[in-house]
Amino acid sequence: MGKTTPTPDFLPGTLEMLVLQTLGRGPNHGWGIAQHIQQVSQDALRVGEGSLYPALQRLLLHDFVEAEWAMTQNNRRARYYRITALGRKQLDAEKRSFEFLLAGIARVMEAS
Amino acid sequence: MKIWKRIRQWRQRAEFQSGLEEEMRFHREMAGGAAFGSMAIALEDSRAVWQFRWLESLRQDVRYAWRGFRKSPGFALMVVGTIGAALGLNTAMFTVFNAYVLRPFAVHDPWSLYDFSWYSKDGHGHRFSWSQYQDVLARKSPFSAVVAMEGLVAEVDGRSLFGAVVSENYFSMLGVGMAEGRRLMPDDAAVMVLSYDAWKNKFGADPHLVGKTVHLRGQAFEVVGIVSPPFAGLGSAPGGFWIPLSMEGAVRNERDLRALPQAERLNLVGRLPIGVRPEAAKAELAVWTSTFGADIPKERRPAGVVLQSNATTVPLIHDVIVTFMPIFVAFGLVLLIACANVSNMMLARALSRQREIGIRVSLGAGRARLVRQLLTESLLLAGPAALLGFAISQLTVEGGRRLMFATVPAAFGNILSLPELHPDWRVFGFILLASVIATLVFGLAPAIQTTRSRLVEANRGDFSSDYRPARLRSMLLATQVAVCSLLLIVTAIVLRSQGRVTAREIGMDVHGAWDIKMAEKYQAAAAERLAATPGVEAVAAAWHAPLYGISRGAMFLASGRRETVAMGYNLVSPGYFPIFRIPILRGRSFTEAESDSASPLAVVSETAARTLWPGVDAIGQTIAIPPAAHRDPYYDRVPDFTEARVVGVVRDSLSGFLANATERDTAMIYFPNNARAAHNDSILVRVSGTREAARRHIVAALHSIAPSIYDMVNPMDDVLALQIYPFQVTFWIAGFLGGLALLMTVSGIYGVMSYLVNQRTKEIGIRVALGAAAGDVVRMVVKQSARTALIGVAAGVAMALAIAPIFAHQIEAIRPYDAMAYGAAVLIVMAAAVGASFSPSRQAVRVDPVIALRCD
Repeated sequence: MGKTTPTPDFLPGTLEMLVLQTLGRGPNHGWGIAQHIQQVSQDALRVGEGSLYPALQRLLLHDFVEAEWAMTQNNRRARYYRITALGRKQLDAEKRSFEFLLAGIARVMEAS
Repeated sequence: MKIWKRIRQWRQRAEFQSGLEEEMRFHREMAGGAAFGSMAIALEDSRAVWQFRWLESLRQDVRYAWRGFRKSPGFALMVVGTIGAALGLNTAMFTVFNAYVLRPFAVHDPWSLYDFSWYSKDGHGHRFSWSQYQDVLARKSPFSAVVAMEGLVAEVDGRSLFGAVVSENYFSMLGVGMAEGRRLMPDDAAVMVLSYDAWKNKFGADPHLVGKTVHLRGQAFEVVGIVSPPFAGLGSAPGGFWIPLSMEGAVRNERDLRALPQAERLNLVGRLPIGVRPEAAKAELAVWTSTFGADIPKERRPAGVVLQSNATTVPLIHDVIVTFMPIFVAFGLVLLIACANVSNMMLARALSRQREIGIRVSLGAGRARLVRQLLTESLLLAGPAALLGFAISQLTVEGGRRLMFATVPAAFGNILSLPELHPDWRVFGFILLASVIATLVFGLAPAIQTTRSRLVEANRGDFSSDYRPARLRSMLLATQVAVCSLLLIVTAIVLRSQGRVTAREIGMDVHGAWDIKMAEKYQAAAAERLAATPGVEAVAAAWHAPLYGISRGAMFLASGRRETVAMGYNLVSPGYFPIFRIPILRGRSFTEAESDSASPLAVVSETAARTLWPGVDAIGQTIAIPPAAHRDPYYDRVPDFTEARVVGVVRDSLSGFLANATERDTAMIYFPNNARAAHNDSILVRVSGTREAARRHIVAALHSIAPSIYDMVNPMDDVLALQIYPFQVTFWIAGFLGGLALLMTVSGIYGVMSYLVNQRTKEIGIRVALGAAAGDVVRMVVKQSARTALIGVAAGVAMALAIAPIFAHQIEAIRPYDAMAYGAAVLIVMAAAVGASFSPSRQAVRVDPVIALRCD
């Protein structure tokens, strides 16, 4: 029941995985996460706030991340997200299934 | 837990919102104005993650339905009123059922209490004698404890109360505490414990009652305690007082129960320990009772044991359910009619919304979603209906109680007492369940009907396609009519039975006759004192007063015959015949001297004479009375002599159960009796003057002997009225339900027919344009209604005939195949059906063909 929030740029569920992967390097705020994904993907993936923040709420709801207000280097108040132990486990699981899926797609593409 | 996180989030939603906004503002600033998308949508989507989606859609449905009701409040009120009334009546009925059958007594662990008794080979039920009670206490019985009790109705210082003589372990075994004073103790003698209700309502909540002396059957008792409410005994009527078993002799007669090995008067209730199954206990008891048999004639030897739960007033067993079933069904049917009515109203309303629903379907609304929305609407109506129903049930119960006290024959008003009828969790549960079921019944059918996929028509833009769930609607209507006919047939049958009982020739003149139930030891003195009282025309002593609904019978052997005949009998002193103005047709009555010496004589009724000695004069014949071996001295009392000579024949009279008036009930044999004899129930008197004066004279005469020696002083008029009363009550209830059903059916037919006329306006317009006369149009509409009604009436009659065998031959006055009753009910229902469609048919006649064809 219910529809998933549209995430036009990603396969469903992959944004959460990317966020968790980013947070695996250390706590970060929303903007930081978006920036990191954009940079590392060399501008291939752009994360808009319309999909980032709902994704963060879902991660919060499932206890995959924790959030805490803190100061940035420029002395601005921002909410920092930190991956939890449960989140790491989830990330591993998602990575595995994602790799499995990619390998499957690759095999199909090569076969033809 | 996610649900707690969601709830916490919802409680801190303002904080959450501002935090999220700040976060996004920061994001935008960092992005340097190159932000994308709407912040409002991002916020909305983020919030939505935390919400329950179904809750959200429910809120939408509720808001939507509320707007709909505001637009047509008449519809909403009609639904709430109809369902509320039906729910209220059902809940009122359930409240009474609950009080008797479901609510356990206010004692410790009521579900481990079992009432037990035994029955003999001839089918008679038996209680226990004192020695048997002692035996069960002494031996290893399946019970952890057993209490003994014997119920009685008596006046305690002029206040009529139900009460019981109980074993001294009664309160401790039941685990009942005292509001004041103490329990009964071993070796207690003339002490009494009163119920809280009796203390409050009969003794004016006297704060110093404990320690005072009260009188019962002429015996002084010291009040030692007042029971904690709400305990009021284990009987079917709430008990008011308890006295120890050692006082049984003092209040019953001169001889102690303990000296009467044959008197089976004790009801025993035992507590089964955990782990002992009732079946096992029953088997063990059967072994014990089988030892009773040695000195008893064969047909009176024990044949089995009855063991029943004593947790509630009436045990929830098969027989009880069967007895209550017709009542449940009758009330349930009224609810069904109400649901059918509302269902039809909802159908009609849903049809007028078909355009809207069509558009929603074509916009992609799922069917499940639409059904859910329509059901939400029904549930929203059911909530207030349940509240209204609860209020109505409270009013009905209270009103019924008052009506009962106001209409019960006056003499019995002060001993009439009902159990607590306050609603408890079971009643709330019932109304909740009933309203949910009602909602599904009246809401589901229209919801499913109207959301039938009509995508094709909707896409074509054709919203006026002929969509009429005609079959469902006529079926609902026919069901209503059927149920209504059934209820009215029952009402008519009851009314006719009541008429039959009321019109019954009882062969006695009861007006001016009084029955005095009193302690045995004062009966002789009372008879003497009363005979000398001014205004008293006649006095008699009787084993049983007539018209209390029972007559005792025994086997007799008439002279000149070989086989014994079962016949009713009584032991009366000669005053009995003049008191009830029963004429002596032939021969003579007993003389006072013959009565006092209990001479071996008999007087028989006409029917008895005809049955025993057909074609021969009864006078001078003899009746042999079989020997009395091991009989209860009171219940099986027979004269001391073994053969009686018939000296007179009296006119037939009906002295038992009026609703059964067959030959057997008017055949009576009277044997002589006197006020000094043991085991007389009543002293009867005929007093001239008004009721109040007569009662005053009687009570004054009795009081001059000793305080409070009588149990009841009943005018025989009221005793007779009490027999007719149950028929009256049944008639009121059946009539009320039938009337309500008729009203609902009429309004249902009216609603459906006027809706149909509206639907067919175009068609009727064409017919009129083509030359149909006003009469034709009226006939068309009425015919349609009458056809449905006929099907319903036929079904109703069939149902009545189907249940008739259950009631046939039970009570002679009730004739379930009474053609008059059926005819009257059918006539009323048909007339109502035609009448209800008359107004819509007038509306059809007024259709102007020009306007009808132009519209749309």
